[in-house]
Amino acid sequence: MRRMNLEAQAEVALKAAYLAGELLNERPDTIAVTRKGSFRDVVSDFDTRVERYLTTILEPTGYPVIGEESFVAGIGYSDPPGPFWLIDPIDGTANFVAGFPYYCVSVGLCDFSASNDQFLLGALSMPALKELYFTSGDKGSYLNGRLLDVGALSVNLENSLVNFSFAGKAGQLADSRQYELFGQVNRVTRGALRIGSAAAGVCNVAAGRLQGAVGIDNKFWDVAAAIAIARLAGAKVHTYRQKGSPQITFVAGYPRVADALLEMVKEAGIIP
Amino acid sequence: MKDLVIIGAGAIGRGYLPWVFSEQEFRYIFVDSNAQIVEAMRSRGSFSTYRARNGRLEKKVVQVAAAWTPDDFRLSETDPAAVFICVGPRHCAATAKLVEGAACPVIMLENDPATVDLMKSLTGLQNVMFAIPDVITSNSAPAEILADDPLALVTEDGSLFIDASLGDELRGDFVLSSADEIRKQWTAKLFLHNTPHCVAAYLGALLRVKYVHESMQVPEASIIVEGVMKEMLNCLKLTWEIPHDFLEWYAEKELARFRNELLHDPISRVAREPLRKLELEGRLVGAAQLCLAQGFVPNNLLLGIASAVLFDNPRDADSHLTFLRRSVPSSALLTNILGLRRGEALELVLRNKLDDLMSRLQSLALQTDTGLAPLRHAPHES
Repeated sequence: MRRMNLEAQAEVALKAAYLAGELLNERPDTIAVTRKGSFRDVVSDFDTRVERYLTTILEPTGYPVIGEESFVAGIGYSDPPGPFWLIDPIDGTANFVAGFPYYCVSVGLCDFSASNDQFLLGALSMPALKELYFTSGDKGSYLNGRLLDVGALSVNLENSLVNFSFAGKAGQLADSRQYELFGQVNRVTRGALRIGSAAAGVCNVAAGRLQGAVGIDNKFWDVAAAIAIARLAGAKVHTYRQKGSPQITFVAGYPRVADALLEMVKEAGIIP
Repeated sequence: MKDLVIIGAGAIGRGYLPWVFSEQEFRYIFVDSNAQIVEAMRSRGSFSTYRARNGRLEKKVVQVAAAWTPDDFRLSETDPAAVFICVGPRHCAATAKLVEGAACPVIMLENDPATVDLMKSLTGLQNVMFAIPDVITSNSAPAEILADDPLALVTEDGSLFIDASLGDELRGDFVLSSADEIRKQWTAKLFLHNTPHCVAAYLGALLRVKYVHESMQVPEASIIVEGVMKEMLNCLKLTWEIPHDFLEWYAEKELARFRNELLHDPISRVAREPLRKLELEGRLVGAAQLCLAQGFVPNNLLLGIASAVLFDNPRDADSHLTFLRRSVPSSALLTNILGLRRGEALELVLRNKLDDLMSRLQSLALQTDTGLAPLRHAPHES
């Protein structure tokens, strides 16, 4: 297997995320959407256009590209035997359609061939907020060039704001259990939020604005980039995924908050 | 005898302050995150600082009463007359826990007045004040001096302006200054010292020279730095009611400083953390905004901004700027990284010019034979 230059791949990822984010700035006032599954799982023309654009930039690296829309189109999935790109052209499409600024283009490089899933690098553009999150090789994570470091921040659960992201499709996990956990976390923290983009939630943990993020039965392209960014920013990220599955459940946060949230997620029976 | 606690044993802390406060009156206690410096201070028990004055170097040997890393230091175990903080603006917050409960003055020598309020808010202390060391102090020294003492530094014969709220609590060779005087000195230092000084350093980095005075020896660089100085002088005269003769004297003094061959002021020190120097209200972008607000385009300063964007030292804390430059177009650097608003005057000017300015500078660097050996970053400069 060829040796990877992580920084060179990170450059490609950042370029792709930024330029694709600029495409989203061409957002018209009204956007036509179609439903993929449930009424809240929608796709716009922009999703497919941006994914094609990202793929064009990433394919020359030689690593396979797996994206949300091409996956839906029926290509299917099994864990690739080496590094591969996991892209989400718009995480938070419903927000994008509504003009709510928490949506992002997400480009992650992963390697799931070992026993532990590796989230190697990430680049993420939130064009409406002019925010660029990225890792530069293994040196660190940055927001608009500013080094992110939340690893030493000690905050109790009760002083935390926590984002939740639920499964896009109803029925994958009993809604009642997700919302029960949401309510429990809301009661013991400064608030449980649902901002509508899993990646934006995790990145805001890395940026020190939120202290925790919980994702239940999300798709791994939603958060592949954000997990790499959060980890290099010093956040603790627990991930749960069955080999060969695109579903991922995660808990991210400042170290103490992530551990406390993990216990609550386990007690709720969402993960073993 | 009382203690002077100096947090940050770098250029100002180690090289300059010992010339201001007499060892006859104070014991020197140093705190530094660099364990190698702390260990060297402990094992040697003293170090040398050299002052460039009247064209020659004077030597002072400073006795170290104690040296600590931040983890080992306890303010309560000292008897401080004052605490000086000189760690760099980005590291100020981390020093707050070291001075909690301080009953003595805490004096911020940080090149950023905002650090005073930051320290007050983090510690709850009220006796925190701003001071301006109007001096260039190298964080290194010529090889022949370092061979004798690896901790040796070279400084100028400068002036220290301390906020008058200090009162008569300390004795030393400094100037107690009113709020108006501090504002005047700070404005001059920010725009007539910091701005052209860092431009000289960024141009020097492109020219692959090691010291600021070597950059000023290259005619093309010197012309740009002098141009920046003229632009800032013009801007300050138009913007503030500061006596013009003071500004002109200050500008002349600074250009002479940049050319001072005795200082051996490393490019890597002056040019470090380019993203901090490119901050929206800072010495480069903020200065250019002021010039545009006064109705003129500061073409030399724009070259300075371009030279900062091109700074490339893999050991610098902002080395990811190079990564960013390779990854995203210049327009993204302007809006996402520098924080300019799309369509504002400086963004419009730089969107049109930045790529061209960077190309010009890169050509200049390729065409200019400095006659000097290529720059090698020594470990102690990183």
